[in-house]
Amino acid sequence: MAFFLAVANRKGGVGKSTVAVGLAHAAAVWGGKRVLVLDLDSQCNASLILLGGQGWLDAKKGNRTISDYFFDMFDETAGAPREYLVHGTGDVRDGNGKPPRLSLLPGSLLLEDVQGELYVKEARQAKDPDIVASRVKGRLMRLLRRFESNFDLVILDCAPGLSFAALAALKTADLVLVPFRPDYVSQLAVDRVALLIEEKRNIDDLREIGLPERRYVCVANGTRANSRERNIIDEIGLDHPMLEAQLPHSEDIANAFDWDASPKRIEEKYGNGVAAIRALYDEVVPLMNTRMAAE
Amino acid sequence: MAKNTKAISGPAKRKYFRDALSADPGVAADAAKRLTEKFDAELSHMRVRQHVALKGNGKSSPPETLIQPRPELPVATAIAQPSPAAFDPHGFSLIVVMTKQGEAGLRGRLDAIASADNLKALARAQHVAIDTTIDDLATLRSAIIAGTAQRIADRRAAAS
Repeated sequence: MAFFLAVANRKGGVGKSTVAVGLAHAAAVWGGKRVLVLDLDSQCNASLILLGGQGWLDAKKGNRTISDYFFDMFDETAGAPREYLVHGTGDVRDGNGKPPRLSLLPGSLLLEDVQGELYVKEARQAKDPDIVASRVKGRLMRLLRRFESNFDLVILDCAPGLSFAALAALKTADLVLVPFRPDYVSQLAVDRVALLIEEKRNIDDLREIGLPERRYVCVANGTRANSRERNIIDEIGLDHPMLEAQLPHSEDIANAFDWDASPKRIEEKYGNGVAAIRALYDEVVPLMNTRMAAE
Repeated sequence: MAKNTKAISGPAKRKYFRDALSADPGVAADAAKRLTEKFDAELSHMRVRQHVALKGNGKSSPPETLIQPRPELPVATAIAQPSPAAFDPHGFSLIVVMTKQGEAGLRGRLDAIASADNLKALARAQHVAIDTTIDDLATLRSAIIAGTAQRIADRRAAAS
């Protein structure tokens, strides 16, 4: 059974796809895991990182995107989810020079439109908007879960905002990683996504859940190791579980997400940033193991 | 610029610093050498009084006393009064200390800061609103504590 790891934050530009793809590479190469990335963000950044522009366009033309999958399978009739996946993605190779087992359900620019259509479709069955929304979310959750038997790790790269797909992903996830930039606005965004994940109304209610028991953990991204940022991270850590590992502001990490068709080792791909990716992976793995053991 | 000044640069400038610093009994030899290198690297050229420039150029030597840096020269002032270590207004988080150690804990940290300017810099850097016309240290500290409490409440409101 796969572990479902969502990467989410309601704020954009905090490094969700960076963290999602970095962990996908790490788990597939260093962990030897069967990894699937579900690109739930209509910006399609994870897809472009893993497939390149042409690869993503080919998937789109072949109707192998998350929108196609949700739309075609919404009624949960018999079907083959694996037909929507692209296997052997990414431009990294394992220690033996072989492509890691890294698959992708590519993102789609039409994801918001399709979710609207699915809402309308469901609304024909029920009048109450809350019931309709709940049913749409429930169906999407079941569709996400259909990949659980063929992978060790399913990474849900969520869009900012509150789409049905993002809500379904948060509900489905065994653990949610919340990347953030160490700045004031991100601090508020972390509060809000935490309330959403834990289904609480305010910070006081959230505090009723101990930090180790939370379904999410935060990770600082794009840090510059100065005292101002350290203070913000400490302030966020007052109310939220926080990884020790941080992704520093790094040209090498940024460059790693520029698609390059030439295969390379993960160390070569991430350059000076590889130690940070490794530290992140090494800290996330025990968290996932603990949660799997508890289930 | 006055007629009795002259621009110097390069070796003349370096010689000026070396002579001026080594002539000051309060500056040790290694410090004189280090400061000469620092000023030489940071200043491309400067204007000095004519008699000093002549000395720097190896021309007829004026009386020794005339090449002493005068007190009003900015460089001499900088040497005589080295700036203290810069205050880091992010050295600790007001919010973290207040949350973990309470008002008394925060007051203890603020008591260790003996400069009104530094207290104001701390508040400004951490976005704690205070009346910046206050100069009394005790009043400033109380204002920062109140402002920090307000900031914590503000964040809680934003997440409601």
